[in-house]
Amino acid sequence: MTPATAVNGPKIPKLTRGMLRPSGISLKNKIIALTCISVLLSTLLVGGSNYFRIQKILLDTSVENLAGETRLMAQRFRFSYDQMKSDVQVLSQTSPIQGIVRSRANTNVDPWDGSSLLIWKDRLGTIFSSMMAMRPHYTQIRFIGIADRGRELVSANSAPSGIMLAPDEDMQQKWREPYFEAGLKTDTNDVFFSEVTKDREFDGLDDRLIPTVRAVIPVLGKDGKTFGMIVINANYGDMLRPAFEDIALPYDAFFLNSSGDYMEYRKNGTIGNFEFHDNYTVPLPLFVNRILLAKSSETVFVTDDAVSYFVRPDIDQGNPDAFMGVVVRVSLKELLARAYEFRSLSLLWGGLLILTCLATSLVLAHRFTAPLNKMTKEIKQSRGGEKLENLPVDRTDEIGDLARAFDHRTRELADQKAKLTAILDNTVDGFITVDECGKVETFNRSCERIFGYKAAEVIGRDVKKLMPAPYHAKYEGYRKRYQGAEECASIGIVSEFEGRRKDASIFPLDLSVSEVKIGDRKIYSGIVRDISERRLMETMKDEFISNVNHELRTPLTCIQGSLGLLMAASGRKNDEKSRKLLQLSYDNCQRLTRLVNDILDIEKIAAGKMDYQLEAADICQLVSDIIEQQISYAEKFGVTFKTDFDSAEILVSLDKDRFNQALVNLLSNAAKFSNPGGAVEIEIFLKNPSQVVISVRDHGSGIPSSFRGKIFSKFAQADGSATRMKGGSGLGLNITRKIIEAFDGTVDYESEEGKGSKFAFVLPVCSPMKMRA
Amino acid sequence: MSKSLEKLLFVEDDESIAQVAVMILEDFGGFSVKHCDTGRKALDCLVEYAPQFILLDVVMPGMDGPETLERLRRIPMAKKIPVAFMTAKAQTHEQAIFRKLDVVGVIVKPFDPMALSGQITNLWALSQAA
Repeated sequence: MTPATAVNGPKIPKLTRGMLRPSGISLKNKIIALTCISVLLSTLLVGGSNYFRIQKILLDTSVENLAGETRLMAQRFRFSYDQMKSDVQVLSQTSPIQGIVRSRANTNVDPWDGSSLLIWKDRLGTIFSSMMAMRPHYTQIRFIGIADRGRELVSANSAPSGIMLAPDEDMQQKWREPYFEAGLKTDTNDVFFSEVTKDREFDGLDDRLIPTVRAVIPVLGKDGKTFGMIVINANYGDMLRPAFEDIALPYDAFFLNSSGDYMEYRKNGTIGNFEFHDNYTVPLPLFVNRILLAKSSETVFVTDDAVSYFVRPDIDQGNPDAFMGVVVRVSLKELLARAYEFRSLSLLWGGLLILTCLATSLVLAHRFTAPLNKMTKEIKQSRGGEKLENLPVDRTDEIGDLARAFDHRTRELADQKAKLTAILDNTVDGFITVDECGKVETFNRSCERIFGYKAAEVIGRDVKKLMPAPYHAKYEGYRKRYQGAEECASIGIVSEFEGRRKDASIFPLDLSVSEVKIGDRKIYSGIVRDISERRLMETMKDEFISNVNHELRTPLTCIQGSLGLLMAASGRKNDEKSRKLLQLSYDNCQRLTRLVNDILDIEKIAAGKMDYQLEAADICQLVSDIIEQQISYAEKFGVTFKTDFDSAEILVSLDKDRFNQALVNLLSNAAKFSNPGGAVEIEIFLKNPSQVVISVRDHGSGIPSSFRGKIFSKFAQADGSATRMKGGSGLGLNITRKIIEAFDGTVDYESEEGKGSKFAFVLPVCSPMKMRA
Repeated sequence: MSKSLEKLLFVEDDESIAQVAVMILEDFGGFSVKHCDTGRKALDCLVEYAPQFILLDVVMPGMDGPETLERLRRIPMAKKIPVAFMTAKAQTHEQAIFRKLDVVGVIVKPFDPMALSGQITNLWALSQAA
């Protein structure tokens, strides 16, 4: 046998290109996407966190650097002040000072060596001049006495032409100057620094508007009281500028004081003019203003675009309210330039990394998924149940495992399919499956034999091809009904149908259909059996029975008729003996007729071929009529029928002739087994609204208890000899029960030996609806 | 009932049955009975004999009962004559087929010799009443 020729296998939904594509994101794209996302995330995470850490470190170290630089600068400014302070202290200790003090107290002559005041003044002027030559930013050094409203005693001044000692007539009275008043209050050895003011000469502003700071130290007289004070005037700008120049910061810086005066240094090395608080040529930057409000000695200010560091140099100016400050400012952009550089680099490397990963993941994903795609293609191109030849079973990885598992399973399926096909092909019955649209899917070898078609001629065609036209409508009806049905239940019909062969001949077949649900698809499988031969046999048998019946009846007719004629004749001759013999012959002839009838009925009942013409009939009327017919029969046994029922109409669905046969059996039995002169009682009553009982009671010998249970079986008679005399085939009750059961009724009996029996039919009452139908 | 049943045509191929039945019908029923042993003969003598009632066997060689009936109905004067089948084809389904034909009744063989004449009279009466 070569299987799979006739059977195309249960069809599963065709694989389409669409179905083979993953419905979501393909594995390949997933691998690529996952790789890229993870690389992107880790790059961002590492790069980002590093960037921010570096930014933080850079900021911190830069601020630290800034603080260092700022402190250094503050130190340098303090040095300028300290230098000026020590200069004025040194000057106060020089001998001409005390010489002048002593001379003034001793009519302008020094009592120690007789030097005149003029000499000391001259010597002091020389000291002042040499000091000023050493310090170019000193603009004036003076010795001012208290006496005479603070008249200057010695005054050295810087002039464009050089250092000049002011002549006596140019000496000014400074008692109104604030530094003079402050000098009076200053302790011995302490130095007072004045506010920065524009230089004043002769109670007016110097034309040059030189910002000037003054260092003042008091000088005591012999009496311990203040004699006067030494005052150094310094050009403040010139005093500060060297500090900026020495440190040469790469940042912007400011020097400022509590009055709001300031001086600016730019990182390119240019130094601005000293700006007075009441006369800015360049306004003080806002952030400097804010810094001035800070009380602490060191502060860092971070704004959106810059970091500033502020340090208060620790300088004793002899005035608790005065202070100075140094601010160094650097823009964030500059400060974090390296961080920005690092960020750009990170971005660059991150981008390169992602590109590399993308390329790598493309290659890898392709390598991972290519074997899978190849397998899918292989499976797609194969037919269901076939072995797959080109699976990558030699691979050692998971794909190899998958391929081997798949290969194993497809081989199993192929084997199973081959087995099933072989079984189906070798079954005698035809096996056919049909899809929901009625297209044939499977057509086995027996079907080919039965219908004369090759499978290829039928598969994919409408199954109607296999049935004669009159059945098409009926089939469509079935198909629609089953198609509509939701439940996937086995239909399991075995029905007789007609088929049409390829040569257009029509033949009877048994068809059993069942519904199978495969996935969301229904298919119908049918088992087909050609029953033409069985039909032929049945027809022949029917004809044979009919003929036997006919042939048996024909002689019986003749005999019975003849006996009837003879009986009539003997009656007229009054020959009692002949009449008796003839009667005997006649009765037996009738018995033979009944036997023929019974045997035929039994045969038909056994074959399920008894025809019932069911109709709604009034049971009381029907029973009355039947009793009427049987009166003459009962009279032969000297038995009478007693009826006990009114004529109310009770409708029962039955076949009148067959019911007649069944009831006659009961009535004749009752008559036969009654004692002569006895009565048979017939009752009809409603057991309940839906059931009617028809009972027949006799008072005869009854049925032996040993016989119960067998009474309805074929050829059953309690006492062979006795009953045979009464004439009976032993089939009557069996037929009776079969008939009543065909009307959905039951037959039962009760009996007492020696007292008689009671047989009863229980039949369903027609509902009014049924009655009309 | 205008007229009582007198003339009967009996078609039966079985000679012995025919003899017995004719005797019964004549003796017990008092009918005048003509017997034909084939359908053909029955059709031939029909016009001449002009029966009031025809009793027709079903199973006969040559022309069977139903065929004889069909041909008989084609003869104008026989169109209205009541016909009854008398047959040994006694099975219910067989009888049902015969009853559907144009007959007043079916008498089953073996018939009750005592009741046969009465049965025929009843069928006659039935046909006349219709």
